[in-house]
Amino acid sequence: MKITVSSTGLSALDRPRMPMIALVVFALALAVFFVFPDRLSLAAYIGIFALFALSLDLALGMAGIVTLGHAAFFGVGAYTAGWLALAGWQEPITGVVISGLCAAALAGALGPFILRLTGLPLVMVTLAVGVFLFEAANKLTWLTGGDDGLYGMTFSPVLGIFEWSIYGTTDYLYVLAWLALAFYGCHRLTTSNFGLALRGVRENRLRMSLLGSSVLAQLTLAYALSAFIAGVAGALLAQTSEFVGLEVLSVEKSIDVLVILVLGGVGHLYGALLGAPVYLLIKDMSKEWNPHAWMIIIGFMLVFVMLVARGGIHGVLHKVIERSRGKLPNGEPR
Amino acid sequence: MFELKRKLAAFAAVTALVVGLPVTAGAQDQIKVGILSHDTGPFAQNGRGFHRGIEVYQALHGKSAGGREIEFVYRDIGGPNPAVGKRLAEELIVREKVHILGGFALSSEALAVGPIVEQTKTPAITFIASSPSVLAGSQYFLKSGQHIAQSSSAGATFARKQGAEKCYIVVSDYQPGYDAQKAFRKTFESAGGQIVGEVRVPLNTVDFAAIVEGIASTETDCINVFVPPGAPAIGLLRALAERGLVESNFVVGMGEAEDHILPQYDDSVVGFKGALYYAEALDNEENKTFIAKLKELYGPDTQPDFASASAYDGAHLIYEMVKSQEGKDWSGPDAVEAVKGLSWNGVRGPMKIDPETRELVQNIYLREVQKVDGKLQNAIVDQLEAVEAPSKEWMEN
Repeated sequence: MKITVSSTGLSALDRPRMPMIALVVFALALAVFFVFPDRLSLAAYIGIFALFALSLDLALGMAGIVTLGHAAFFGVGAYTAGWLALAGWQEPITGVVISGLCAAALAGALGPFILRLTGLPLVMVTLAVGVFLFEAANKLTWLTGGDDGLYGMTFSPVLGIFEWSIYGTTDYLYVLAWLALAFYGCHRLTTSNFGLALRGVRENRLRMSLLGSSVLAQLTLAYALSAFIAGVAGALLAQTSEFVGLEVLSVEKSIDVLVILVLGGVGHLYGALLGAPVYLLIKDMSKEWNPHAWMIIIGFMLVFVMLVARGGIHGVLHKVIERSRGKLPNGEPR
Repeated sequence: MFELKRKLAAFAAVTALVVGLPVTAGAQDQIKVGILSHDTGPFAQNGRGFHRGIEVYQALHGKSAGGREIEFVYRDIGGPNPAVGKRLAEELIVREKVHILGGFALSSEALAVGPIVEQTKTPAITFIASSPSVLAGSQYFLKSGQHIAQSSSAGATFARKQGAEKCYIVVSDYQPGYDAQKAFRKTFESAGGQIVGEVRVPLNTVDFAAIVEGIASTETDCINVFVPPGAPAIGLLRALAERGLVESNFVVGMGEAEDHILPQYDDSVVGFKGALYYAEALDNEENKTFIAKLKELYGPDTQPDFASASAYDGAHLIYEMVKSQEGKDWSGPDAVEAVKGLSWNGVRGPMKIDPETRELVQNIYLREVQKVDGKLQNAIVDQLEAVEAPSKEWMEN
């Protein structure tokens, strides 16, 4: 059997530098800052979800860890950032890093146990972990505020210079900076030997272990890295909204982020960047137009992606660009 | 690649033009009110009440007050999501340039929005959010709903008045449930009653057989419930009735069996009581006008509920705030100051804003489900007048 490393944009392996298109995407994101100055809180929110989807892509797309409980790490990150601020640690950047580390620690502790599973059992166990944390947060009202949420926190200006405001200017640039950093990190990761090993595990776990690769350790590390980014995203949500609601741990959050990633394209780093704006913009625009329509639109888009465009938005764009260059897509999965 | 970039640039330029065009702001002659609502998701019933209450008020009182036109802008939060609520509030203030915020079905939404309300000095009126901590979020928060303990404590007072001695409490396992449980217990015990059992059930429980069995094996003459309307409430009341507990006990809740949800119940709900700040059967001028207009606008089968009643009274409060600023430049803080201490007759009867705490002083009604001419409906069997919200200290100890 010939091993074909598919769908992860192997071409990136040949070019370890950031491809041109990443710069275009981030230039566009930066342009949003000037073009839509009154929509920056929405833009920041989208950025946070792109980051969250990126973290899921690392687990699901790269390492093949099928999970329905990723909101657990998002939520742990958000609550940690909230608790830190309430305890007096109001410096945002270190707050984000500590929150990410807490989420990673949780994943590191869980990984060796749950990552032995694959397929449906893995889905069920990750779901159970998510539900358990949600219920625990609901019950521990003295710690989390329960259903009322955690409130009353303030954060000091970013780098001591950039004040937070309701216009979302600081929020957006701050989120964008984290997103760019995480994206660069993920890009380096997927083009590294470790990334290649992960892809091997995803494609054929048994073969990788026969090759002498320590599969469980690699998966746990990938899971922890993914959780770190999810925790960062959660912490950013807590800092930009100065509030942590119970919904950060909800199963719906886990599903939302999965839908975002599937729409954008699983296994491509750009999938997360493309899925989040499409999903959340449709949701937001339909709210002003007809709130009942957005589920229908998203539903049809999901059906479309499942039936004819397996690679999601990224897959479609990729094909269009390749065609326009006169190249036929090679090695693209059907 | 180049092609794509050029197209994207053109696209960005066009969108910028389209979006940038409508920047004509009617600064002084119009007051915009942003309503944080729920048009989709599990709280859509409340959102529909918000729309209806406000629309009925506008149909009856016109679309302007104090020389200014009043426009309502709605935003759908679409589920329990305070972070989205906060973002929508920011957008309403930054983009829509609203002068007043309203809505807030959930306390968590009000708590999340609190810092922006405080920062931008935007008056905000919570229609339903009834957590004790809501008003502490900002000095510009006002209420047209209730403090949860007003109804809960009143339930305990009613129970004692009817001679109940031993009470069992069943609440949903979340923050509002804890608040309701605490207020009921404190009031019941301080009035000389005894709490013989308390249980918290998971939020989405629909099968209450085991819990009801536990109650039946305890000697009780009163059962206090606080569960969300819908499947959980129906499940609990049916289970209580099957065990014969609705007949043998004084069963009191809050909004579990409003008139508009009664068609979902069977006759087992007869005898259930609810203590609440609004009752459909209220026989006052405002309520009769309100219900008549509601039925005219949305059809003869339309029933009022506490959400639409709160929105109606909230709309009145908004109109009063706008009137207070007639002939002056709009100032949110001044408008809030002007309505502190205001008293008026709402659809719920006489109500007053306590100038110190900003909580409402209002009547609490004891409603009982009865069967009249083969139809289930709530009748008012007792009422407590001018009930004040308890202090923060009372709630905490």
